[in-house]
Amino acid sequence: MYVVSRALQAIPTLAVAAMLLFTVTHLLPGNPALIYAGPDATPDVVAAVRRSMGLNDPLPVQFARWVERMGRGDFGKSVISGYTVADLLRQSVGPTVELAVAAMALSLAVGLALGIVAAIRRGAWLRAATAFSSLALTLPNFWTAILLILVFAVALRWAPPSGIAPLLPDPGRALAFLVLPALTLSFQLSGVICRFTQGTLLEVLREDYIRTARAKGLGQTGTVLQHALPNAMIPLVTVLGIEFGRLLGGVVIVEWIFAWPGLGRLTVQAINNRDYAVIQAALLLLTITVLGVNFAVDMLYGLIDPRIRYS
Amino acid sequence: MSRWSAVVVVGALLAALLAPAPPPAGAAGALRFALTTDIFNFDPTQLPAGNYIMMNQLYDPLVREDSEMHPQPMLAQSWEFMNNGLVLRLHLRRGVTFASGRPFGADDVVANIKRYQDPVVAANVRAAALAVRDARKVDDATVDLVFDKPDPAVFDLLDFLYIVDPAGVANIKTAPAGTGPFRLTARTPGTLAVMTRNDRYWDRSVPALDRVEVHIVADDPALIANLTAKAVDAIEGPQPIHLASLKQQGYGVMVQASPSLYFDILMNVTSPPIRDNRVRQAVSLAIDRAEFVRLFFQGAGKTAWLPPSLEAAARRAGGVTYETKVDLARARSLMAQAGEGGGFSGTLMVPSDDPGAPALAQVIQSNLAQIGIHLQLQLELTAQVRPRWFAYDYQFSLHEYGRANRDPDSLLRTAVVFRPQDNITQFHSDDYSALIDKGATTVDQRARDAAYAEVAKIVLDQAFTVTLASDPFIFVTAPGIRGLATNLEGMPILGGVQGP
Repeated sequence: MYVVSRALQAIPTLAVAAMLLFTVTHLLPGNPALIYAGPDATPDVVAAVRRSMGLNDPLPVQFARWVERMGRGDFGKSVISGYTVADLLRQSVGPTVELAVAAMALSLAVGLALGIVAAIRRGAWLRAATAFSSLALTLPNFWTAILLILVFAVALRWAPPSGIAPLLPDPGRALAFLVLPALTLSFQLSGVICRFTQGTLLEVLREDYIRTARAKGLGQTGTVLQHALPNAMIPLVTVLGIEFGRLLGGVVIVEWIFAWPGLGRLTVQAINNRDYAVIQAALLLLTITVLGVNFAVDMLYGLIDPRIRYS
Repeated sequence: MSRWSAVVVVGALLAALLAPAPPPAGAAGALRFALTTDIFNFDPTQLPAGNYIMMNQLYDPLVREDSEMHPQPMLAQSWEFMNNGLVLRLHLRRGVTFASGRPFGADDVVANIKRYQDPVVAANVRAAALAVRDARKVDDATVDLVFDKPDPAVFDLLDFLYIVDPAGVANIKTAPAGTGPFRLTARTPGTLAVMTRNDRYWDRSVPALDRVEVHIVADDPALIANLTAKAVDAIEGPQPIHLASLKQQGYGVMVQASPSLYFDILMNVTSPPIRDNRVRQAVSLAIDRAEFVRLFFQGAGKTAWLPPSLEAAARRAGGVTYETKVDLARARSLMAQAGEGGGFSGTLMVPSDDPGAPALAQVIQSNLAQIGIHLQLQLELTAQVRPRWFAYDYQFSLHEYGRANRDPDSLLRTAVVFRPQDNITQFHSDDYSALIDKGATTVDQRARDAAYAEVAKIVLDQAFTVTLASDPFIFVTAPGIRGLATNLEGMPILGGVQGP
């Protein structure tokens, strides 16, 4: 019941988002006919291209046509490249998921580990973790990316500077291409996770029930894993949900620099070309992803703390 | 999973991550070329810079103009003018086949001319193609192009007329259908295009390469890193600031000698402070073109006051005189004569995604402040700037025009900043229109030059658009890469390239 009610709540959000996306896309200054017709186009050519792209119809008619097509699973065609939007999405979703999952996994591994150790050991560990998270939070993605390329691709030649390789038949080669973009994207998030884990754990470790657990003879590791960490998880999961949205934002820059053929890069190119069908579909997909992550976070709350599920 | 097996898995993953990068894919006979702009689509009627890389690889034009603008045979092997220049008879090359294997012939030329004229296709050279009243098949290998008036610039059109297989037009944006020396074999939009040797190409001496990989690397530092990390063999479009360092490291730097693109500043001639042409002349006199070329292009660009083809025609006709140095005193005097001695404030629209334009805008802003014109910069994407040009919704704007190195007619009749009708500066003059018409339809070279000398005088006097500096295409190649050439427009020709 809890799952169903949460899922139903997403439907009106999605409908409003779709309408807003469509309207805002068409309100952007410029249009694809002007881009397609070229810099020296005459007014009659621009008018002919506009007509052929169906842009002369009233906006509500275009919206209705878009919704009707989407209902049939037809996302339309890119007026610039000629590829179907479904093909473009199919080609770009995989690389973005690959990058986002790798970055999230790296962030969790580094951020959680460092945050937990810093909260337990304190002293030099705490200072090191604070320095790491400060650095991670202050360095912009594009700067980290260039730095990593210069060190690991140009100077050391340990990884290729940009591009992508399929996972099969050579996973090692695929990993080599993935490592620099994933490190770049994970750097900021690992700082956030580290700082948040460390702060929340420090607070939880001062609670009475932790002292009770220790007094009952439970070791430090057991106390942290069984009592402190689960209680620190709810705010951390909330932060991860929010940060996932930011991660998708960061994907745009990282994909641009590393020539990674993902959704962020596709969206930026489509926006530059005012390629409406591609912009709308890509943004709608990103919206659905963010809604999905929020939904997953809600579900996790319920799993971590049954009181939320029952309320 | 036991603790040891976990250690082994983690160790293997780390080893994979830290292992040296795999050897570059650039085996013998392969060229890896990185560009900053993605291929727009595979329709050769579309000429955004991103399409330049594929044009001469996947398609052939009817002729190719050399650096002296003399047409050289391509799909048209020879030609002759008939009926006092009103008919151009093209004798087509035999034994040419499209990517589909279908033979090329006269019907294909007729169909392509019609396609280039179709407004829905939006061919970027449509205005020039409209000069052809009719295209008639004489036999399978002969076509007559019929004109209402002689067209001395017709070879500029034929140089741009890349022939598409009419049977492949329906999917031309995604599936190239040309006769070029390469075939498209793989494509990931936004990232990669792979072209492989066309074994049926009509010129048996090319291509020397088996394979060309086109990588799209939009970010400038990443582009340079790809070259220096040896992940690619050649790049196009690096920021000029890198050139000196790359040369020192032994890379080959090729700067387009006779650029087709030029930066200009547009002035909306209906906007009150710049309605007076003396104010516009003052703007031209105050801009330090050499400073921009020195700062941004590190000397690789050229300063200019007129489009080079127009300047050359005027020079042949006896020359036009104009000031080629910054003259602030004269600029201030012109401002005073126009009643703007106290100066004024205005806006300069700048296409922010055009490399070089923001730097040029800052030079202009600083220069014009010295004569009392205080400009606020409006940096916007080309997608936003273009509709404002067409709606005349700007005061000053930076812009680039192409075809500056072609016949003056190819520039003056089609470029939005020079053409007599629908000119985005809103400049209009009957004399100007008549002179451009005369140049476009007169065969006698002296008479043409004389007409263009008069056009040059009007352009300098009215200063509705002020030419500033060239924007050459720049290529950098790894040591060992030879034979990279471009056509007049700056489109790479990779047929003669020999790999590392």
